[in-house]
Amino acid sequence: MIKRLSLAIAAMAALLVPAAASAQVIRQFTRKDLTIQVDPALSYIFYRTQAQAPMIFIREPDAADRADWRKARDAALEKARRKYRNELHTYESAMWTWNRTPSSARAGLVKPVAPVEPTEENVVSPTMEMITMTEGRISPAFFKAKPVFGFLIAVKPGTYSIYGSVLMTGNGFGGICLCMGTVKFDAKPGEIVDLGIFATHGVAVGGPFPRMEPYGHPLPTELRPFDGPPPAPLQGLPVHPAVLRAAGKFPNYFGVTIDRIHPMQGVLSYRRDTIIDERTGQPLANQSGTAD
Amino acid sequence: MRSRRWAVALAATATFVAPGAWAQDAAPAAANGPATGTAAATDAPPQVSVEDRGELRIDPAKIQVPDINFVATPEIEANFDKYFFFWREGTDFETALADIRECDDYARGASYHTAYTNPYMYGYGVLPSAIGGAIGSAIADAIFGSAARRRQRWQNLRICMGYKEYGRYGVPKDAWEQFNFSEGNGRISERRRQGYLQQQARIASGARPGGKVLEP
Repeated sequence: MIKRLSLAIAAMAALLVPAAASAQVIRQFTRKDLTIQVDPALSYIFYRTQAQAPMIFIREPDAADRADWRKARDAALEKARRKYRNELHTYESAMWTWNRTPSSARAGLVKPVAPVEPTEENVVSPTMEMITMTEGRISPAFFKAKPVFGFLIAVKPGTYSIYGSVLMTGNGFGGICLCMGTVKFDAKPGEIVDLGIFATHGVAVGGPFPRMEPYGHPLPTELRPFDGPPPAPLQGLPVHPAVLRAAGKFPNYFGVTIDRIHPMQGVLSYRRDTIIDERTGQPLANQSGTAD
Repeated sequence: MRSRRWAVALAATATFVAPGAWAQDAAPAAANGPATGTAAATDAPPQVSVEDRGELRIDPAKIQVPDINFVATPEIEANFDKYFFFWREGTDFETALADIRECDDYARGASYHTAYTNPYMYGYGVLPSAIGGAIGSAIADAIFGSAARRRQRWQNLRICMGYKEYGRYGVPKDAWEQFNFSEGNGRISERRRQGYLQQQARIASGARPGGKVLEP
């Protein structure tokens, strides 16, 4: 059994090549970063985990993101139209031949298929989530004080939702998304926002599905404040606890295991799968995490 | 130790999505998992046509559902982690269908937020399959295989419907195959999928099942 697990891990390791998906982390700090210079134009997200884990955030788009998205989409549409014109020419030539081929001689031939004209609606281009998705990689850690791992990433200022712990590789994805409910926070320029610690579901804190074995997923789904001083390199710097608020549901972009963040007093709770904004006691106005 | 445990869990839960799995739902019906191999499964048409954009014009009374009453045996109960259905008291058909479709979307990934459900998108004309287009995983698929995908589908359905507080009930495999499908590396057609989901919604909103409620 152990051998089989080792093989599985080895297979995973073999697949760990750089992710193809874009991920907007400007810098991920390491244990060698003993002195942190805070750039007033950037924000910093600091979090801890109970197991070394990746963490995916999705930033709400700003005007620059929208412009980037528009530019990428226009470019994709133009490229698709150029390709379409070539395909259409080929198709028309093939149909000219087809129409002049007697029915008796068409046996075994395949009638040409008209290409689909690209439009604003059907063109495939980078999604907004691909532009704003921000990945805290599984490594390097900013500090290791087992069983706690710390991570520090420099990011573009904005409002971020915690999407989940998804390992993104060039060969595929694995992990867990908080697709059925999560939280968001503001990352302000020149500040380090401290999320606290992601507790590991099913190992340290139990959970609503503690009996899901063998489907258990001891992955981080609870976020709670961390009781203790920040690590030495962050002391004296503008570190602020995150002000969390309820965010809505997200699609399972990566086809991974789904879950939701644990209820947080004063932040969010659930009525069945309806997300309740604990600040108002009412259902979240927009249950979609990507729409506000 | 924990990081190793995390890595094991990650490997276990990883769904390495092949390009085909994220592409449009054009895979032939024959490419589906074993549950679609029965005559009832392969021949099952949509029970009632579904209009565009999720408008429900379905008469649940016209939806045929199999007999789900059975005499439990240890052999049947041993497979209840795979063969099950959901039921919730006081739930109407439309609510059950919306819930089942949402959970089905989660189970199959982002490319499959269909016209039947809220796609949770920014409204930028997003085609979420573009993310999937970045993936190449033939090697990973060969390692983890179709069975892992089916297992994850069951898991995500249980988690999603569990949060919606539906009860889970076991059913024999042959009955299950008449209103369910498995998805491994292949994909079921959208038409057949919606037919099965309607059957499941009819059962989920129908009479109280006779069996015992299982763990989520």
